[in-house]
Amino acid sequence: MSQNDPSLGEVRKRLLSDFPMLEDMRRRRPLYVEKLARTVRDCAEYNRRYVVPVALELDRRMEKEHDYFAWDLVEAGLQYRFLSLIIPSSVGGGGGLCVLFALAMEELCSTCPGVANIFGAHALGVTPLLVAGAMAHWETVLREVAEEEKNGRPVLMAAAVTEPSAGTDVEEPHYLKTAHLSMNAKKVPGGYVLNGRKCFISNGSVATYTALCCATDRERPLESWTSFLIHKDMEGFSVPRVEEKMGQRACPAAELSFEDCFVPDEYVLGFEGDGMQPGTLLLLAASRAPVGAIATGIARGAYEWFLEWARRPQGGRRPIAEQRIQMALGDMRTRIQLARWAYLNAALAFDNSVGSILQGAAAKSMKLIPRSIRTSDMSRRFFLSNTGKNLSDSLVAISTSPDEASHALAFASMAKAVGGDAAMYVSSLALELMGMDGGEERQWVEKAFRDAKLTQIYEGTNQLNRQTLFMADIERSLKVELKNPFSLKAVGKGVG
Amino acid sequence: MKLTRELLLDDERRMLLESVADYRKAVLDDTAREMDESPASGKVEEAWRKAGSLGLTAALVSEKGGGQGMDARSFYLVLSEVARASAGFAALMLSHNLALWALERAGRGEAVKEFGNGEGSAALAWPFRELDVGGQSVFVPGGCTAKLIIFASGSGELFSVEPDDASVSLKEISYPMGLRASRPAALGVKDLSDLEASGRLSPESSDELEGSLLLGAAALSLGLARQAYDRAHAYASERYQGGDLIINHQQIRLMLAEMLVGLEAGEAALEQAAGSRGIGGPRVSACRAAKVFAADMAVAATLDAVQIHGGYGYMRDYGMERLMRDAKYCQAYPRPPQEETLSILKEME
Repeated sequence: MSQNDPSLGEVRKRLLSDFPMLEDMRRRRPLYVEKLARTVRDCAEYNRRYVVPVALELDRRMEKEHDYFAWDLVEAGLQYRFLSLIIPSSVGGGGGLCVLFALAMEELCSTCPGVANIFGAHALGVTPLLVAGAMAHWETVLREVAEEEKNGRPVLMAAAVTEPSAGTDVEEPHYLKTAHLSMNAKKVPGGYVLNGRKCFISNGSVATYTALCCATDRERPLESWTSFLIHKDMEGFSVPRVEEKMGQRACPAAELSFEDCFVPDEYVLGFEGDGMQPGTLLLLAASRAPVGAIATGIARGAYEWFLEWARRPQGGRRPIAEQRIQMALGDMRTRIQLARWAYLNAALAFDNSVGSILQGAAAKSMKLIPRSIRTSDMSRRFFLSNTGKNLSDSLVAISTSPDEASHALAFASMAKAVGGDAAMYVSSLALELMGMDGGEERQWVEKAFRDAKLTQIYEGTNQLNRQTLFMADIERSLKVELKNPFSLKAVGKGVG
Repeated sequence: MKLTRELLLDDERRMLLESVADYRKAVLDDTAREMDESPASGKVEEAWRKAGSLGLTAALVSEKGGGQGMDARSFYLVLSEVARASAGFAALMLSHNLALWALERAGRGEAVKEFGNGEGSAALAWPFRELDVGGQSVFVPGGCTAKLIIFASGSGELFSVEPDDASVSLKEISYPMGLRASRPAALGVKDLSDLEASGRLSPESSDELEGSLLLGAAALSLGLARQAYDRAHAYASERYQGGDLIINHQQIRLMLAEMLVGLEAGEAALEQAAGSRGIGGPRVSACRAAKVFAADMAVAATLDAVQIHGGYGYMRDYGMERLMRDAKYCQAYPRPPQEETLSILKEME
């Protein structure tokens, strides 16, 4: 493992050699590719300076103290603006999209996916505001995150989808119809009253804001699935429990409880009933490629430690001199590279369709309106009104066809499954070959193995991702509906 | 669900298995998590004493020598059953019982009596790799708590050393991912000539020791896989997703069925290898084959069992993640699978 901070030149060279498609992009958008390289360099520097020295110790500490949270590591990340990587530049963020974020996650996760996922889960919480939030949510919440970060104060976000009896079911429109749901939002004058529980919510115990989806009518969950924004101080909201996980421990997974929690109308993201389509599906299209990148980073970390081990002389010879070790290294490298291309391809598909409008003319024009006007009470009321929401929704509609959205989701699901499998394959094979005598390298690979398993489970199990891929891509191209009636034509509702 | 081998058990073994299952349920099931997370908390010692009162800490010692005189096949059944709750604790039993077996073979009956009653333990350091001077064994289950460590040099000389012997260093493996209840340690020996050999293992008994260790490790893996199947099947039979029990989702059924394929084949391979004693000593290559197969199978089965549990499988209070961590350790103990596999070819040629 490198002892020095990587230079921008080294990182740029590595990126361009690992991702030939970036070379082409560099000719057209040199500044963009330079920004990607700078971000990846920042991630590598953050890892080397702050994470490598403490990651193993932190993991062990959190086995005993599972509700400890490493605020110091979050604070160390503020200088790199990790919390506003994907927040639009019009409200003070870095303006990155899926490609930039995915590259950052791979780099961060090559050292400690637990620490990295604090930033990952945060971005997952930002995304619903990007795809469904009104301009006023950008102006208030996203601006707060970006500005506070500049002032040295972390404002974390989270996204809450999973419920105790519904994991797969709430990530899939067809399954949602029959899901066993525990959360419910009831319409009352001026807002909604939320009751029930969400579970396994990454950052749930440390987030200031949580974007949450639930049904307003449990009899019609698909039609009434709605996105809300929750503030941690809302009355009736509590965090009764933080899970004890096998891995990725630095990022807490919390249970969220709602007891008659009143959420005002202006905290609804999008419209009632939009939560699944387009809400959750766009969220998944945006998030699954980065989860593929998380897994790729874990695989890469395991590979790098294994390579280190293989080069170290043991009992008079180096394992790397053996053919079977060389073959295994070649196999690992191949799988990592394929997983990498899969996530970058998916991220590009997202950025080119859904993502492009977030950086498009309308979003940029926000900058032309003086901030004092944008944040005035009057414009805030306008952006939160149905007219205002329709305006921002139409931004998404302008350039996203159902085909594009469906395509982005299919590729993202592919990247997620292939990445998770690569992470398990590489870390598992490395342990198998190292045997019990792995030294410090083995401890890192063992951690990678424990961390990796979660990437086959969260953001939809790999099984669900393959099912989604079948439905969003294969079945759709056959233009017939097979046994399973779900098809992503529904994505078109509200966006095309 | 019963596997074929379980249906073929004779009455004596069936009764043995039932009594070990009672012990597991009463003593191990509820403490397995604590033994994994805090192996030094005293629960391991408590369970060890109770195992001693059932004779499980002198299972392979002859009746004349004060033990159970258990045959090897029965011993593997015991290990599998114990591993369903805690493979770490089962690894401790394996290491200890084989150490006593070797001691008795080497004519050290008095040491056997001292450690066979559940009050203390011995540990087997295998494989022991001789270096230019001295040697080492990198993963010794029970190494931290053993009062006596047994290892054999390349020439078959059997050494028994106490942990505080000046030429011996025992280093606790501080944070192993799996088999944690076994309190593993790494053994280092400065100079073999400083130590007095306590006996010599004949090539046959050396083979038998290695074969038994391999099949014992296979038994641990089979126990883990069996537990993975049972837990995953039970969970799939009560969890709804997509409007139906997940046991009715074809992909889940396939994962469970593949576990059964692995279990049936793994049990058969163990049985055949254990039976190969009848042809003039065990055929070590058959033991290796059974071990490698069972261990790989258990890794796959436990990973799938976690997957079937979804997010719950990843949480420590469900106990599923411990199965996969332990299975991964059983795969590399006593030696990594590829090395074991290459040895098979060499032995067959």
